[in-house]
Amino acid sequence: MTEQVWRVSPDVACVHSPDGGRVAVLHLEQDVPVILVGTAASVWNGLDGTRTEAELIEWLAREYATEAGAIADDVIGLMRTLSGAGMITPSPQSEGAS
Amino acid sequence: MDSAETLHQDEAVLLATALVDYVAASAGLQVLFIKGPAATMMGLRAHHVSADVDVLVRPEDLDKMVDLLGGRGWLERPSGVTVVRRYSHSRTLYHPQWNCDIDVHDRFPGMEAPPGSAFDTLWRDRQYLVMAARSVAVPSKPAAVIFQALHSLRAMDNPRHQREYSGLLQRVDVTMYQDIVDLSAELQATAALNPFLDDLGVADLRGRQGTVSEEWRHRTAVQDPGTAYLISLVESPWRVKPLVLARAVFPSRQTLRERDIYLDDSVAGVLRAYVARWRRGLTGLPTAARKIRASRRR
Repeated sequence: MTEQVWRVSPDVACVHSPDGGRVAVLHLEQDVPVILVGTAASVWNGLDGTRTEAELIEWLAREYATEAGAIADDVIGLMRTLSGAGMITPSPQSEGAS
Repeated sequence: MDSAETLHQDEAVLLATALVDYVAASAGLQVLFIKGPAATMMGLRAHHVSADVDVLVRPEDLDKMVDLLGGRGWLERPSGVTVVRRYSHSRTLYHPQWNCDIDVHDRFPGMEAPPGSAFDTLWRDRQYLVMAARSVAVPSKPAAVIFQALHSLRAMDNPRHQREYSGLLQRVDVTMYQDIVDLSAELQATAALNPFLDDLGVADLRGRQGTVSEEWRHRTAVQDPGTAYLISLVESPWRVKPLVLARAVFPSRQTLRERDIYLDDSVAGVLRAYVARWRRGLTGLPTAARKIRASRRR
């Protein structure tokens, strides 16, 4: 099975707060932005185009000093929402790791 | 995604900049983002949160840009004061779900070159800055200095403009002086910029020229609708004066809405708006008269 990574869509604009705890995101085909705060902002910040979903969950678990299993469902749920809104797009890992 | 969180104004301005750039690029329009965050990023003013996005378009693209943004839910703020509208240089848009405005300019007061040729000059020298993770076109640094200086000079009785002006004088590097003078000559902005060039101490540089236009004199005198109406009253033929006076005292709902887009449309609401307007008008009358006298002495 080919692992895939998630990256921010090229048609997205975003503004990060200085401490990284908040991100305002606008898909440029949509009319109003959404605000991600706290752990949702951390998920966004972790979308570096090289991490797979599993690696992202592991990274967040380390950041928040918790078990990966405890946050996996929430992270995957948010990824599905962001993906459904066209804000993030999947690509094969080899492409993302370039 | 948390929908209960509200958009901060600094976020709104940067995201709206990206939105305008995207909408313009999708339609093949060239746009330059002036003043605001671009000036801060270039080190020409201290950081403060802007209330709007200022975008300059080619004059022939103004209507199209406003229409395109209208298609994205941005509505035009009414502009009801005829005297102010006479020298209109921008159209202001708002969106009910955004907490910033977008000012679409087709020219900039103080630059007397034909607007299309001024845009060409500014576009030729453009640079790019990253805002909201997007690369957007902004004026060159000397051009940005000229925008900031003209913006301040237009309303020097405003303490914030005075502060920004003083700050700008300290922030402009001596190596830029000749570029500023040359560019201001090309944009035909030298006359309006004279006080700034004097304050920089570049009196001897080649390229300084011109006298200020009637529009610039008018703009530096008229900062508010009260002064605008007073000028209109003074300048109008006698037969028109009663109409101007009536419009000033009992303006249309559209004019009232220019100040308050959430105007209470009931009779009581409009009456309250009239009373507030009369109070402001009477309070501002001595200042307005002083400004007009000063403007006529220039």
